[in-house]
Amino acid sequence: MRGPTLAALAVACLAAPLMAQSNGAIAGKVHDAVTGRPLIGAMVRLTGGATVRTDTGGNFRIREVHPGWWTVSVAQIGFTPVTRDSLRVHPGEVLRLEVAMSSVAIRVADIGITVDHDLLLDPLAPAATQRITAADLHNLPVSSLDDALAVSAGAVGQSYRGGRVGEQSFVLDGVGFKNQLDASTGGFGVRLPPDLLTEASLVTNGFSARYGQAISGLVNVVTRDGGDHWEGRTAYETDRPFGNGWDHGLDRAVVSADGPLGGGVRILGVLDLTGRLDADPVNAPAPTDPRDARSQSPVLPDNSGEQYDAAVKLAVPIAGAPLRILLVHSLEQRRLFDPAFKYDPNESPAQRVAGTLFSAQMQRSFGSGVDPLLLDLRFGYFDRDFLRGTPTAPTDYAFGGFTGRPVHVIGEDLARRQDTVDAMGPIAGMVGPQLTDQSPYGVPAFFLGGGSRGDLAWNHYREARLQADFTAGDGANVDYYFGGEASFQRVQTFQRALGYLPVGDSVPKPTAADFSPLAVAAYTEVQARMQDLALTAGLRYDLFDARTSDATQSRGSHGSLNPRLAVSTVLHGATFVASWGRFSQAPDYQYLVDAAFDDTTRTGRFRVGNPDLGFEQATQYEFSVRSRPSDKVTLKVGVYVKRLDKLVASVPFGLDPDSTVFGNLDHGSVRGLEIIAEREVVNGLRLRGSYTLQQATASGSDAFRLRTLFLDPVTGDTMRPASDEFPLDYDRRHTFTGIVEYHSPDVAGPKLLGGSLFGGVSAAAILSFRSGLPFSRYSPTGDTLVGPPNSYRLPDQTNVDLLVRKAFTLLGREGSVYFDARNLLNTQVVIAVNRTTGSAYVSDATITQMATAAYDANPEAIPYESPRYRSWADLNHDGLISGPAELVPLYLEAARDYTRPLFAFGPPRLVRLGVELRF
Amino acid sequence: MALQNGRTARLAAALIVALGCAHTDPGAPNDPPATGAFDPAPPLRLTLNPGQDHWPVWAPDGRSIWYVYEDLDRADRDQCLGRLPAAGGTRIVSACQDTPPAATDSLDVALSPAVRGGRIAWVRVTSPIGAVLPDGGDVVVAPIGDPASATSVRHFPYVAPSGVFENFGVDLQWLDDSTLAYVAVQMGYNSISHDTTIAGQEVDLIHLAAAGPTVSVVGGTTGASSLGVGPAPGLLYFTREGDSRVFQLQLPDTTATVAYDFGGLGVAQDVRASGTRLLAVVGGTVYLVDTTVATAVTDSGSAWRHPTFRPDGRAFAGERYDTLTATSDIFVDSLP
Repeated sequence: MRGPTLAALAVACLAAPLMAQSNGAIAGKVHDAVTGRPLIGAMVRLTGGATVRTDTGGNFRIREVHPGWWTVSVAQIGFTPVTRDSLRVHPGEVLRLEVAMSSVAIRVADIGITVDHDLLLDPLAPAATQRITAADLHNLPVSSLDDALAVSAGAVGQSYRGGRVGEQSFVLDGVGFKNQLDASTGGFGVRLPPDLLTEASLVTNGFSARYGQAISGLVNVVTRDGGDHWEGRTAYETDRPFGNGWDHGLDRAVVSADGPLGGGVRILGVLDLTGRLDADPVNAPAPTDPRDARSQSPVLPDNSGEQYDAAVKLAVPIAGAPLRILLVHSLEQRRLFDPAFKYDPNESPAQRVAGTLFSAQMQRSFGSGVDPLLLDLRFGYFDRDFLRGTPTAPTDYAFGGFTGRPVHVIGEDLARRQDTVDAMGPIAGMVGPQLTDQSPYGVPAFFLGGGSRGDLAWNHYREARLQADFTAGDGANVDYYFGGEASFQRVQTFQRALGYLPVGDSVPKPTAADFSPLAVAAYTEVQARMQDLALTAGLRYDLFDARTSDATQSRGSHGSLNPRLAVSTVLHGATFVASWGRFSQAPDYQYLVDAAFDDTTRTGRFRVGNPDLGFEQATQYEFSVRSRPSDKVTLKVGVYVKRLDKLVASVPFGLDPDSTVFGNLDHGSVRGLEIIAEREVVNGLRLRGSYTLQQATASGSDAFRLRTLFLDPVTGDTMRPASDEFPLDYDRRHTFTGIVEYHSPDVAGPKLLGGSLFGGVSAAAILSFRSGLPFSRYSPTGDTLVGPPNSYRLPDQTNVDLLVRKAFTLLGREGSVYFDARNLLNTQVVIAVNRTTGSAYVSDATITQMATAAYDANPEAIPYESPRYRSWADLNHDGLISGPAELVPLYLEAARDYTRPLFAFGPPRLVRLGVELRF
Repeated sequence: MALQNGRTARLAAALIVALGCAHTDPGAPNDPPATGAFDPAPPLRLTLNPGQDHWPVWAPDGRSIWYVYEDLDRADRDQCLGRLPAAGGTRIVSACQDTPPAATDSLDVALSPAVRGGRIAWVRVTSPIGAVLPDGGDVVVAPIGDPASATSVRHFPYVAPSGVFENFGVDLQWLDDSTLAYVAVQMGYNSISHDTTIAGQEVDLIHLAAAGPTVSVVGGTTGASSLGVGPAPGLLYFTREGDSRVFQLQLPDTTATVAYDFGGLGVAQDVRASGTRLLAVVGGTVYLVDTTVATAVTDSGSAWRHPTFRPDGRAFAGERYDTLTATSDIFVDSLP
């Protein structure tokens, strides 16, 4: 069954909404095996799930089926009951089932078949969904969900389709979660262990009206349930065997197990631990000065990290329907390398982010007719606690990058109490930094030690969410969805800069906020199928009220009405989808509150929050075509235009040059073309490729010519345009990603030591090319743009990741060893540049200027007994390093070392060797 | 997929063994500290600081010397505590009173370190930048390994039970584990010569107790200018302002007797005791007084202050003033 026939069947019988879908469906037809006539009113029951009856055409449809393995029973008076087990339901897909029943009297063999349908051509299948399966996470050189999503078309790291970081939402088993406090800068805070997942997908358009809180996309994650028998997996991977240069201090251990607990209860548990001595490795050129610490080892000091992720999922049958409870807890602890503390360890800041995520969901069916009303009731709780500051104790590693102890910072209690009164004075235990004498150059310049920068930041975000989703149908061709959600949130923040000093003219006041926003939403959506045409129309209303304590500024709640519409059809073996939708998200709450931070180049700074910020919005138009040029090849082409409005931006506040305030000020547009092609497995080889052409621009008008000012790089003229258009920060024009997978047969190649040398080998490579992101250049004084904003481009990036795995059996257990290499070719990628030079490096003139200024500030001789004394620098051997001839070279070397652009370069080649055992 | 592949299994086992491998350490600076004096010729010069170095005092084991140095790295030129190897080399410990660069609003000076057991005590004095006189000070005590955690046991300015106004104290020394002695001084400013003068007043004792420190005045020490603690419990030696004599006093007596008189050599200063021997400075020269005989142990052309005995009494450390550079440095020399 191929081509139009199959497509027509899909249109007629399948019903997956045009959206991110956590659940699947089972649909089909029941008929008499002898006469072929449809059986009306047959009872179709999903074991542990819903029950429906067939309609006058013998058709049935079980909606909102949780992904996994299911058993379906069909009963009709006068016919022998039919039971089919081992039916696999995937999220967002409809399992097609044809059931033929025989009369009790005739005793014809029962027949039940599943019909293979082509999801690609399903006009109601998600239009802009890129799926990552559990197998992908296992077989590809990726370690986390974020790694896997980053290779999706249209993704630039965690920026999707030209949007900013944090403009996406996170849907876990149908429950929406988002770090609404600081998603744009702080990340989510919970990392889902890959072993927990069934499938994840990135949905960049056309997501259902059921989902909001995002304008760039949804990360839709479906977790698996525990199985009917006990099984598990354990793995350990490390880069220890590779030695200096390749050893970045990685250790990762994973243990997962699942099985029945009795009474129908099933459990799944996962523990995923990662430790790194160099948690943010860079591929910066090796220093030429052998005295530079990096000349001995590329591992940056005080740059370690440890991540603990644990998850437990329970499926408990209650009144025939399972209650699913999921608890995930993540703890990430980091030391954050600071070049100023390169030679005085233990003074760089520490950071701890703890996230807890809890969800419970249950489905209820009302009625047992053809179209019962389904209610999915979901509860979600999300808690994220962020802490950064000066660690109370040096990092004491227990194993690799693992400490096994919680990081605490000085003033932590003060921050948690949000005590802005006590925090006006110096924070007890906090010591200010001095110019360290530990640097190889000795001179009192640039490098600090003996104390920290004195930053203390804490924030805590919590939300409890209730979500009710109703699903109903009107026959096989119309589905209704409606429901709503309410999210009760709490935001607490505290910040103090230069905490070793009392608040004063150059030290900003501590800031704190504590408020409880409320976000509610309601939606309705209908999907209808008419022959080859499918229509989805939805409407969502979002409302949030920050309910900040500053009643004088807040104007109450903000509302946003978001219609969405999609039309799809099948023509000549291809599916065409046109969609239009409006999306909105509340701004990061961090922009609603005041913040204090230290600008080390000037003075303490103060940022004024704006509690009246409203929704950020996007409107997207998309047209896509999906086809299957041959049996094994699929092709998806989509073009889109996305208009971004009311994005949060900052502007100077009053006359104070050190203060800013936020507003819904920015707008722009993103236009793009995405091509995704895949060749299914042929002779063990699978190929996938995606290409994205994108243009993301912001436009600004400046009728009063107050803001934009730049120099023409050719003429040197100062330009003050009334309006201009320039690339957005994530305007990556070209992105290509190719994925090659190969799985050899179990027996291949010569026999060796009782085994097959090449049998059971799998290899996967991800090849990517990304054109450079834009950046702005400034004049040497740093206060004037050179050319329009974002008119310069970073270099292009190429990358190759590789995973080779070899299966084995050990003591009757299956397992594998694997070699995983990221950036296999060790390509040196520039990911940031100095804004005045346009290269990764600062200019020699700047280095000389810095050195001269430092020497002028401290021209004193360094005596022999001083820890700063360096005998090799004492050119006249008089026991004193004195005068410009002896001191200035040291200041120059120190300046060159200090300004070395480590984080302007992407990660180096990172390799790991792993072993995995299944039990 | 699974294979009976012994080689692969062994590879897996090898990987597990790799757990025993250690990761590569992050890079670290490797610039070993200097050992030994820059110039081994006697007297052994321990410091070449272009700033001022004062108040050397030996650690109980005689292997290192605590002192006070002017830190020219600091914009406020604070004078900090330091610890040097007695044989010379890189300073082992540095402890400044405050935390620059922000706290440059005062000149903080450490004076007269005194070490006993696991504790170090010293006097610290603070002056606003530009002030002609200090506006306060403290006698502080700290564990020897953590000078930054010092706690104050006497705050200055202070009016002693004798009624004497004290700007601060000098010549701080331990009498025993719970008693500190110091010479109370007044500081004045001559607005004509633009000079500050320090005048010793008396010897005070600080009694450390769980209930809190108390102060008592040692009777018979009026006008004391320097103080040395003798080997016997409660035995004090002291000099007086403008006086050539060294006095001794056995607590709790309040009557001092003359231990030695330098007579026409000049005014005696900076007395220290070790066993039956005394060190004192007269006219910039260090004299060793052994019973009744005083012998110059430094060249008469150099100006010395604050000599202190090594614990075994066979050497001393002192600060020598260089008239050319107008700075003083720490030297060590042997004693006969």
